[in-house]
Amino acid sequence: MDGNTQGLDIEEQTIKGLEESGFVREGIYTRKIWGMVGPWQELAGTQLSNKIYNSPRLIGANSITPFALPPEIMDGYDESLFASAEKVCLVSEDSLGLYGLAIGDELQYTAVSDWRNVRHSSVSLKIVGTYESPFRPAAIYCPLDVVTALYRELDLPVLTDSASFILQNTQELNQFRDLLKNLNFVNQQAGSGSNYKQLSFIISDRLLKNATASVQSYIDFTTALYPVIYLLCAGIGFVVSYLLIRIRKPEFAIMRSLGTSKVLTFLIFFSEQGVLCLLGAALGIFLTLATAQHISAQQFVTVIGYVVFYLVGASIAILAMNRVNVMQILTAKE
Amino acid sequence: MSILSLKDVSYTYKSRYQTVQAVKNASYSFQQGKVYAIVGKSGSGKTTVLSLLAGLDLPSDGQVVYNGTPTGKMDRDKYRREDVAVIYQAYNLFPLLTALENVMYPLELKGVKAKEARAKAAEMIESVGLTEEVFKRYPAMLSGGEQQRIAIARALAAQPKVILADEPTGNLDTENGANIVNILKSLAHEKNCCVIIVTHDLAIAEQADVVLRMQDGEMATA
Repeated sequence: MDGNTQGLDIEEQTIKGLEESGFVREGIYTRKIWGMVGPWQELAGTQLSNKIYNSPRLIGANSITPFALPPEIMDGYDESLFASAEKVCLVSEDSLGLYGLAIGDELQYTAVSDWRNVRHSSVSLKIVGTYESPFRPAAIYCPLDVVTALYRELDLPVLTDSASFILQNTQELNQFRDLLKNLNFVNQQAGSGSNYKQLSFIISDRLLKNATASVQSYIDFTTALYPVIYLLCAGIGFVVSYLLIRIRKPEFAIMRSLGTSKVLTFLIFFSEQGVLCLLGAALGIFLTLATAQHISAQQFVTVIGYVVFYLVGASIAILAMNRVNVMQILTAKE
Repeated sequence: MSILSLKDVSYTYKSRYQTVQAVKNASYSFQQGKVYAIVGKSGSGKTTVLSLLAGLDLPSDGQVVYNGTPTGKMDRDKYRREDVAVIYQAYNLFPLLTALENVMYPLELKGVKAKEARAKAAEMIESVGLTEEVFKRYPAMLSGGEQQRIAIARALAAQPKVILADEPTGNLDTENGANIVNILKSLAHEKNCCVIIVTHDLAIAEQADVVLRMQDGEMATA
């Protein structure tokens, strides 16, 4: 933001409507007013116009956000000064020299209602900081409420010339866009110039897009890893079930020596592994739902994949077990 | 009358470096009502013969014949369920089943209903000289002698005609060992079972009706 931008004229009612829409978490506004530094000077016509044109505008803001570079603020004040109604201001470093002022001095600013049928009102502002600006004359910044009070004193409609909104929920961006269109805003692409006849809005969702692009690439990477994950699941399933069965080799051998058929032995061990696996999967799903409140179809498919591969691994392990020498296991001397 | 016989049985297996002939042309007929002892050094082929008699393996050559049917032509799982039982030196009880449940297992495998199996298992445990106190104990809570008696009770539960025992007293003290041998002898002489004991203990072999000696895979009457 700089001091010479023409900006927009957004009516107070419109701002209020947007704030009460439920979409907005925070609004950042600037409101400018024309005038001159010092007391009112009895000028008229071109002389008055030139005087006002060559004087810095007084811009009210409710946040430090508009500054490209952070201003230097004197001790005892901080960035929150813009959220107050205190009569303080920030001026450009050049302006201090131009008007012979210093940090801590009082600066009188006389605001005017228009450039012809002039009503005027003055306010005394304590200079509490400076900022860098390449423009001449550079604007004087003060809390938004100070400028609003001048608007009211001059009996002017309170207009806002820039408004930025931080949404409550970025997932409702499209609904917010619809609301703006219903309020007769027009969509203005960033950098495509101004629209002087209608209110325009620019949705600066670059950060969101960057974030979603990053998330998308992560999802793509994860998706590409699925086959590897499935193979890992299969491997883990095989190893876990094989080890679980291996430590029960003597039981397996006893069952076989007592005449339990290979099919029945397989079914007993397989159903046991199946119950263990399904209980583990159910516990995993329960914990996911308890913590994330949601389980995606893809996550569910992964769980199913794990269960399937675990059971395949278990089957192979049990079939391998079926080939052991029963007598060798049972006659191993203590 | 012969119930179980070895007919020119040979068993060969391949180890990593060589082919081993564990049993060479063994022939013998076992009869009901007798106790047989198979003695021999380690590696002489005793346990392999036991494995073949139990139907856990098939001979490379020759036949093991039970009641006229070669084991290679029968349902060997059914054979082990109903006709033959094996007792091991290491007892080999299910560690997570109680003594009673261990004895019930072969009965349930045969399709006997739980209530009947429980009663039969209790009777079997009492028949080997143990009391109701051990019913609910897990194997780890029993002494070696008690575990071997439970193993015998389990072997008897399915009322097999052949009982094979691999060093059944190997982990027991003299008194418990003698008790187990007496139980096995009574099974042969009173219940008309064919009891075949594999052992290297000559004291046990002396109590057998017939002693067979194995040396380098060959079997001969002692």
